[in-house]
Amino acid sequence: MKSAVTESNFKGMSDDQFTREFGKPSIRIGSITLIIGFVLAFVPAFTLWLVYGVVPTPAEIAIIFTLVVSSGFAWMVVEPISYYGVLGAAGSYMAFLSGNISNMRLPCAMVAQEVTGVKPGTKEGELMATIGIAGSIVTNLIFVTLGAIGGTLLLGALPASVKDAFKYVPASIFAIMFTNFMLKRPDLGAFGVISALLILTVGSMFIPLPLQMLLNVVLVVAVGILIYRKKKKI
Amino acid sequence: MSDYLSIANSPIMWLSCFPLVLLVLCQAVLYTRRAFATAVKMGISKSDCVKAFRAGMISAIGPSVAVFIMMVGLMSAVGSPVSWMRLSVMGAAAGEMINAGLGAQAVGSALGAADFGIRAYAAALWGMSLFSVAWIVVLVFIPQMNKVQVKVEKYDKNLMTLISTASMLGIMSYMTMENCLTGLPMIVACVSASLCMVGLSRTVKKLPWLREYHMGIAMIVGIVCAPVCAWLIGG
Repeated sequence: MKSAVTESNFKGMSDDQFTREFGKPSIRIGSITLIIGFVLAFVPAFTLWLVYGVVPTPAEIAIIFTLVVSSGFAWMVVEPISYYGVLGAAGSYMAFLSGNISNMRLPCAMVAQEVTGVKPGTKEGELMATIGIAGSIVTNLIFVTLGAIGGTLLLGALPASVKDAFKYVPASIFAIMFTNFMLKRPDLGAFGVISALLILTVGSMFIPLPLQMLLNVVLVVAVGILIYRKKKKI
Repeated sequence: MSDYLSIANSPIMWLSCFPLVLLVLCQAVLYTRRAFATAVKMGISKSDCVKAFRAGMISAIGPSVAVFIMMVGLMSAVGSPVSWMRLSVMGAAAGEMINAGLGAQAVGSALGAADFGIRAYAAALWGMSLFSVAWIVVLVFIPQMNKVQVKVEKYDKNLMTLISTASMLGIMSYMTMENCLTGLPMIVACVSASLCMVGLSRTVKKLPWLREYHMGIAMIVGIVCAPVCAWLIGG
């Protein structure tokens, strides 16, 4: 198969140079855009206040803040950790700004790595994943914009059976992604399924929901490292 | 109840939502340029980078249509412009509904309730905006994680590939099983899409051009088989 890294002119890059060329700038771009994004997210709320004079009282805003943060805080902490190993720094900043991580950003990162024949977790893998995620953001923006402008009309034209079918999209994608990586590491895949089932059935009685996926990720990574170290010794 | 929607869908609200959508696009452009430049320096051809970008675009079509269908519920509650903005960022429609609902709840209303008026709309906006503090958490965490990654790579080159593959399996096995536990049609969706993927992963070795589409094809198989199963057991 033709692959980006087996081509004759591929020369790779040293760790330090990669950090200088891509690692550091990624963090800079990400930090600046997320801070600007944080400010811009409030523009509609302020517009409603300044133009129409409608705003919740400070006490109400405090209540809203408490409600939103208490319902989401565990997710806010757990998700960046769970997804980092797959997304890398640049991918994380993009995915957390644009959302839909597990059902859109991760699959697109994976396909981008596959078509170029690079391995996940390598420098070239991180680059191709970043580009793939950027591509997926463009598609997502097109559809969301179409939806906002003509969504109600367009949706009316879709038969109910088609709309119904699309609720199976996330599940299908999760299964596809799982299968794809299971083909590479059947042992870890099998372990992941068993531990996920245990966490979801028995574990869910005492493990809080946001922690469940992280626990599964930690377990599979730990088992992966154990197997790797054992093989290395032999 | 409907008069708040005339404000929620007014041109000025569209205008106020535009900057954040533009920022998402700008960020994607900035990262793409950085990644292209670095890749070329590593000796990866520009055409490979374009291939990766196109693959990302194509693979996002299925999930984007799913987002698009979920979007209408949010639009009827908080109007088109804000839905447009929220689903361009962070945006899972379900999560946004929760945050909008929590906002409305704080002022004694609820999404879709008869008394959901302009005040509840304002509160819903604040609820969704305040959730952006999640980005502050990301801002703090990612540079730390990056430091760990650099150390891991120095220690052993192969370890990061292993961690990446294992994390992916951990995430996806959990998500798949979580869905499978919700009923037979979901299991059928997962199993059929998965079997199709196994078949396709053999085929793409002979037909490399198929690689960009194989995920889309397997997804279609999943979303066709599941409703058929639901129909069979239901009627």
